[in-house]
Amino acid sequence: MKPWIFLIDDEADLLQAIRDFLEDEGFLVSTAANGEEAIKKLTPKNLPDLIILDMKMPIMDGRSFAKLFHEKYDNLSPIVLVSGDANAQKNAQSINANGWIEKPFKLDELLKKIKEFIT
Amino acid sequence: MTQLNSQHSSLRATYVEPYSFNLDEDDRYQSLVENLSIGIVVHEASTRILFANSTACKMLGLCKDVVEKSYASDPQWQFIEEDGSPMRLERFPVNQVITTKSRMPSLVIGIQHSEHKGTTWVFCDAYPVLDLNEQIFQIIVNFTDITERIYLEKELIKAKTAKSRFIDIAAHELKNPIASLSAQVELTMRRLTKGQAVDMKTMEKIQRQTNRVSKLVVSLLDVSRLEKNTIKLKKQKVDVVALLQDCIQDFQLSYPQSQVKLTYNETNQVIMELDQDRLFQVITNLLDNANKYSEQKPIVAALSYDSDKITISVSDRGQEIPAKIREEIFKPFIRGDDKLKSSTPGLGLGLFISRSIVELHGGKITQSRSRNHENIFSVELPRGQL
Repeated sequence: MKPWIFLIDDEADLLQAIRDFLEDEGFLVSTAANGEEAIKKLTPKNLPDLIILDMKMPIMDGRSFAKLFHEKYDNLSPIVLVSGDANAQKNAQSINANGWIEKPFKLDELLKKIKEFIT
Repeated sequence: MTQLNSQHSSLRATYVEPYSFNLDEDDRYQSLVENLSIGIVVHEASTRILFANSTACKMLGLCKDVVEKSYASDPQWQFIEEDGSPMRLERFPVNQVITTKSRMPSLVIGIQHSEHKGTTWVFCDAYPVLDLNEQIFQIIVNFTDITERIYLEKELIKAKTAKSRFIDIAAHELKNPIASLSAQVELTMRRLTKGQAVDMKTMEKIQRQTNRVSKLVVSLLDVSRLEKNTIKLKKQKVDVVALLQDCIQDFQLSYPQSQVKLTYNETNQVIMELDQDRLFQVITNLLDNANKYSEQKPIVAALSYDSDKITISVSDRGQEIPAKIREEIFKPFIRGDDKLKSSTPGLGLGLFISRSIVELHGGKITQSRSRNHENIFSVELPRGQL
C-alpha cells in the first residue's frame, strides 16, 4: 500500500508541483488550500502517514490547524512544517511539529525529510 | 554668575529687556541669562530654588514666582528616567550633587508637569558652588531641551524596526513564488531526463510565478523611486472608461473566479490626461486588494464625474477596515490587522504606491465604509484642461 501524504498550502502551483513529484515517487497524495479545508477532509479513521503543512495561509493558518489537529487526533500523524519564515525552526517547535523544512527547498531535500518519517 | 546668584532676590523683581549694551552690568548679566536657550536653576543647599531663568521655567511648565519658591522634590512636576520610569529623589541632579559634592555626570531627564500632557526631555548637567569651608553653598543645574531630538530618535528606531520587519516580509513574499518556480523547474527537468513530455500548463505556471516575482521587485523599485522622488509621469490622453474595462478584463484573466461589475453613467468617452500605465497599476492594486479581502463576494468598480473631477471607486463587501487604521494602510510596510497580516500575501506597499501615483496626478485616494457594509476606495482625479 502506498504511503499517504497530506499537503496543506495555499500556493496552488507549489502544491501541484510537489504533488506531481511525490506521486512520481510512489506516494499517495491529498491536498488542501488551508487548515479548515484540511480538517474537514480528515477523520479518525482516515489519517495520513504524514502532513506537510504551510504556516501562512488564509482562512485557517498552519498554527491554528496544528492546534486543532493535536486536540482532535493527538500525534497520530506527524507534521512537517514548510515555512518561508526566518524562524521556521522556532515556529515548528511552537506548534509541536515533528520536523520542518525551509522554503525554497530542493525536491530531494523534501524527499529526504519525508523519509525521516516514512520508511 | 556668583554676582548674579547673590542678588537673586532683586533679579526677580526686575523686568527683563532684550540684551542691550545700554543696560548696566547686572542687568546685562540678567538679560544674558534670561535669553539663553539653556535652562538654569540655582538651588540653595536646602534644595530651595533661588533663581530660575525663563527657559527653565518654561521647561518646568511653571511661572517664575512658583518655581522660585519650590524645592527639588516639588510635586508640581515629576522627573522621569530615560526609560520612562519615575526618577527616585536621590537621583535628582541637585540631590546627586549634594551627596557627592561634585559635578554630576550628564543625565537625560524627562519632565512631566501635571498640566502638561507630554514630556519635556532635557539633557541635564549640575555642579556645586562651595563656600570657604568646602560646604555646599549653592547648586547650579542647567538643562538643554532635547525633546525634538528624543522624538526624532524614537521615530528613527520605529522606522528601522519597520524596515527590518519589511525585509522579513519581502523575503517571505519572494520565497513563495521562488519555491514554486524552483519546484516546477526541478520537476520539469526530472521529467525531461526521463524522456517525458512537458506540457504547456507547466510552462504557464512557470511564467505566472516569474511574473509574480517580477511584480514584487517592481513594487520595491517603485517605493525606492518614490522615496527619491524620481518617478516621472508619462501623461497622454486616455479614455478612462476603456482603461477601467481593460483593468477589469485583465484582472478577470488572473482571477477567473472573481465577480467584478463596472458601473458608470456616461455613455460617451471620458477623456483625461493621465499616465495610463500608472493609473492601470492603481486600479489593478485596488481590485487585487478587494479580491484579497472580499472573501469571494462581488466587487464593484464605479466611475462618476463632474466638471472638476472624476471619481473611480472600488467597493468590496469584505471585513470592515477599522476606522483607526484607515490612514495607516496608506503608509508603506503597513497591512491591515494582524489576522490579515499573517494570512494574506503581499508586501503592504500597494496602497502607498497607489496614493503616491494619484497624488502625482494632483488627485487623492481615500477609504470609507458605506451604509451597505462595503469598503470603498475612491480615487479622485482633477479633470484639468485637455
